[in-house]
Amino acid sequence: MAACACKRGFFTLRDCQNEATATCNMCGRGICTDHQAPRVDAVICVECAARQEEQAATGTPPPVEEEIVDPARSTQARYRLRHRMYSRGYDPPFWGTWYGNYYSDYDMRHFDDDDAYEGGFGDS
Amino acid sequence: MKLRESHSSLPPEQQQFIRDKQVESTWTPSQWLGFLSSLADWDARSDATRGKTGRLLWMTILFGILIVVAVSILLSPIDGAVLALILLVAVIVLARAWRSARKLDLPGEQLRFAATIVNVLAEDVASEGLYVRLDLRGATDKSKKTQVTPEYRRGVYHKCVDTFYVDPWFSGSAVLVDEADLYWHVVDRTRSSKRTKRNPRGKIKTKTKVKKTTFLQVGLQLPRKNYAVHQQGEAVTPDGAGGATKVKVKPADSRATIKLTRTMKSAGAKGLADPQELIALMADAYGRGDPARRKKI
Repeated sequence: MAACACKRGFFTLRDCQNEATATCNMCGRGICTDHQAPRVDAVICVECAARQEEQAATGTPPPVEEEIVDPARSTQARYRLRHRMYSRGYDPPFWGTWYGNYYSDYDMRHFDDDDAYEGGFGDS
Repeated sequence: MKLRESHSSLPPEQQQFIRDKQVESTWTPSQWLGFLSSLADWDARSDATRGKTGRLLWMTILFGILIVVAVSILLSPIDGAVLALILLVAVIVLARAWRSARKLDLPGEQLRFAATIVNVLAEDVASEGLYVRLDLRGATDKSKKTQVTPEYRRGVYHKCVDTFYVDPWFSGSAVLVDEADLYWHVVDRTRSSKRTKRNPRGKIKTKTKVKKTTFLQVGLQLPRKNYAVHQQGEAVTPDGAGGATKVKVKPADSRATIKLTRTMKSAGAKGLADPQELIALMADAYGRGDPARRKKI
């Protein structure tokens, strides 16, 4: 199976090196176990779950502080904070190879040259 | 009793932290999260137990007095005295249990603040680990006293004494996966002002006013081979009313240093800064460096 499509990191983003073991029911991307949200009803990636919870909570976001200290939900809490920070204007530097349309809501910063970033590249 | 048993079942380093309220170490983010989560969980249970014991103590005192009075009137004063003695022993036992539970109490808000920062950095920290220094002895602990002013007069107050405390309660540093070095400090500065006056009826009245400010500092060293650093960045504003940010950018041959500081007034003596203020400051520092080359991390 292909690599996990989620991006690791908070202040800087990079590719997840793990192999995908499931498919997210919301975005259809391949995801690894690290990036699977703790849901019993569906297989959802932590990024989709974070967006869903943050958007559903417009006005009065549910407290993320309680989730932070819950070992089962701490990863999702991090992705919620990350989504919140990126939505408020933080543009993370991107150190991966490819990010596709899923992240079009975020303005990632990467080294700008002639080649299209979405096309993929290796280490330099 | 249950609290003591639960305390003994914790790992030695957590028991030591509950006793000393201080820890300084370099662990992986997951080790830190496990440590802080476990303590936050223990603190929640300890708060619940202390609350129950406190309520039981007050109920025993209140109903004890009523029952002793009723027994003394309806039966005999000797029966009342015996019952009062039994209730006194119960109150002493409950008060001791409540006191010992209070000694083991941890400031849950500060634990959650630290856990939030560690969690945010969990995927950014390189394999060297995360250094954290956490001191939860309290902003007005005796060891944090820095200055006591001589007595002075101010308006109607004939005797004023100010005591100043500096509490650097949360610091940390780490090498990140992009080879950047990050450090931070959270310092609470408290002024406790004890003021005494004589009211129009001649009584001496003393009150203590406490003001606290929180100083946040973030330093980020970005490797020049990976980042082009610039002075201007776009600040990310969190929910809280953050103060103005001071920025220093120092370019150097191999690593550029970005230092940001922010001072905020806290809401009351026990008020705590929002962890998102510190996260925003870290993001602000990162906002001043753009990738200078293509690299896969």
